[in-house]
Amino acid sequence: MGVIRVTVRGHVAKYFPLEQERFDFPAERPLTALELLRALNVDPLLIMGVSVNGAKQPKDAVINLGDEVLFFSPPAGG
Amino acid sequence: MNGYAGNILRVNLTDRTHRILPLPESLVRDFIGGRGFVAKLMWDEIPPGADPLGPENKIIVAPGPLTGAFLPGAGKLEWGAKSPATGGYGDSNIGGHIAPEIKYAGFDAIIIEGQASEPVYLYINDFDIELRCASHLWGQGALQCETTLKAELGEEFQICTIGPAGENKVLFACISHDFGRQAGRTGIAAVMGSKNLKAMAVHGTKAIPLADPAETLEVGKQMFAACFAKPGFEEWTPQGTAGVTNWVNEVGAFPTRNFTSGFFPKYENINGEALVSRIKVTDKACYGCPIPCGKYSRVKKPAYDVYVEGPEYETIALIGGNTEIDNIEDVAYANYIQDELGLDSISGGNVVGFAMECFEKGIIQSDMIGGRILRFGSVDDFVWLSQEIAYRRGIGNILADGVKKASEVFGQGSERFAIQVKGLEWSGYEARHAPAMMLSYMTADVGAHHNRSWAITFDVATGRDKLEGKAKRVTELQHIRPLFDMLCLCRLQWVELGFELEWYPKIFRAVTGQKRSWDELLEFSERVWNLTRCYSLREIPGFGRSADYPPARFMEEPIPDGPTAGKYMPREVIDRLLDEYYAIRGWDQRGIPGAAKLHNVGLEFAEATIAPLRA
Ligand code: SF4
Repeated sequence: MGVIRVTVRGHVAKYFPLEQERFDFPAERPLTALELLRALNVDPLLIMGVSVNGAKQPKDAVINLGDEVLFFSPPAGG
Repeated sequence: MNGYAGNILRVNLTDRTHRILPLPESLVRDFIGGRGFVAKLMWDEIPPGADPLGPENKIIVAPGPLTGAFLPGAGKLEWGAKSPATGGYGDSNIGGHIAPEIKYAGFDAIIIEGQASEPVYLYINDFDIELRCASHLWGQGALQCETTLKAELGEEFQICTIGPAGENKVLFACISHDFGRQAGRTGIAAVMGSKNLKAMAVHGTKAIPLADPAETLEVGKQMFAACFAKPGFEEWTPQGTAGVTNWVNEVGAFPTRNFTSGFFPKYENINGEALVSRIKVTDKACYGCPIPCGKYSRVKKPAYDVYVEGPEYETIALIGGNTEIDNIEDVAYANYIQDELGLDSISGGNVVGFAMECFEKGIIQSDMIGGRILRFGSVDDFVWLSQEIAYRRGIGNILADGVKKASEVFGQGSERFAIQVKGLEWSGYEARHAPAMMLSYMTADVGAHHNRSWAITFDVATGRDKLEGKAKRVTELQHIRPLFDMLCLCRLQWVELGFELEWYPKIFRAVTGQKRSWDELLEFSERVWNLTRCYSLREIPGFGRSADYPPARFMEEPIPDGPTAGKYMPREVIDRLLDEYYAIRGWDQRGIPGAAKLHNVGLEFAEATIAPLRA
């Protein structure tokens, strides 16, 4: 068992558990960003982009235990 | 009054006089500033029934109580006038650096009235106010005019201009500032043109009284630090709003081919990555902004070599997808052309897309445009038509009045695909499968604009086929977002970074000395929302529910392709959304605020005007 460090940038943080923008997600194995979002009950379509350990990645990128994942809200122009 | 310069400047263009008047305490007490001042002064000052392009219309310019103070994003300026595009309430805000300059010059609002007999520009250097001859500026492009005035007056002047489109009273002309910032919507630049007012140049050196300077500095510092500490802060800036292009296509909401579709297959040629890798020179920010969304770009091809601020997302959507121009260089070039002509690129792209579809359908025929053709995807056709519109030549003279009025001239069913509400062209989100976003556009007080309520992520999060809760969320957002326009703050720190709203009452208290919670401030915003509704009810015969419907395309035509293929929003769904929305607002089913609502939000003065409309 380990954790994935989750950070959410922007307004969609309110659709994550407890409306938090930073939290640790306990996980037993590496997950893709899509799997992680589904586990958090967040529609992946809400997320504009993903970065893992500071590097932009596609939503099917694998996140290892101990990694830091950052989810980006879509910019709500204007 | 802390946070306020304490004065209103009234300029009469007809007799070339000006007066400096004390800022009424009641205006501050009840309407805060910015959009609040604009709405109340429009109600009080512009005679009912005024011709939007006549001398009796007035332009109201207002910064807010936090403008020019030390906090992130305090550089927005609100412009207002009776809209020539809609005939009702019109406002538009602009970033850049001019709002603080107006406060430093000593003004919380400027009222511009009458009509000059020849081209002038308004010169404000603290209390040295002049109407100066602008005959040498008339005819210049909006950007060129700013360059000329900077050279004449000095870099320290902040300048707003109009281009040929404003001079020629194109109903979607924009006000330009800082070489690429625009107050684009509702046609206020056409009102400037009708008044022979080419520009406004402002320089100020005065201090603004603060309730608690030490606390203002401290809270301001904390706010900047909190912005910089936000997760993903560094990733936001490189692309700015252009970064949303991929996502909007992914959710099938990207205006494509005059809003026929919500997905543009070539979006990767015009997205944020294309902008950054192919044309961006640097980032560009408004006053006091820690997250510059502006992108300064250079596009160089054999046919052109220009610098332009942008393109930002809305321009990419309306010039790119909506007219199917499929490379970022041509989108940026078309953006530059419309900026220099002084056309709002949202309405500008929408109108050109409409004309291209009219041509495809044979409603505009080649012999009506001098033997030319109008093709989706052609930047040459886009540029040519933009010029025809700005100078009101030929078919451009019809299109210069916007898609609603043009469709009334063209007929033949063109009103079905004239994508607008209330006469204002729809901006960058196709909403046939997004009920909250659809309702946002339908009920925005100025017409089909996204900045009053941007609810598409709420649709995605809560279910795009669900209607429950949508009207309530739209109503909430219509109070939150316009509150930023009353305070004259940029809202992108909040939406893009998740900057906490709790900061704003803190800095509001430090600057003004007034202790108000965010929820209390929202009550002011609801007051203004009802006032702008009353304004349009007063000015537009028959205004109400019928003005809140989207175009027939959205109610009857399924989206042909992409992630939202097959979706449309039938009239009964639209009606249900409106019914719920009006009930939440305390308006009757014709969209008219009830007497109790007007009383509850402190608009008793409007009751005598509105009561006969309920009969
Ligand atoms: S985010 Fe953009 S619009 Fe807002 S203040 Fe910054 S540069 Fe201006």
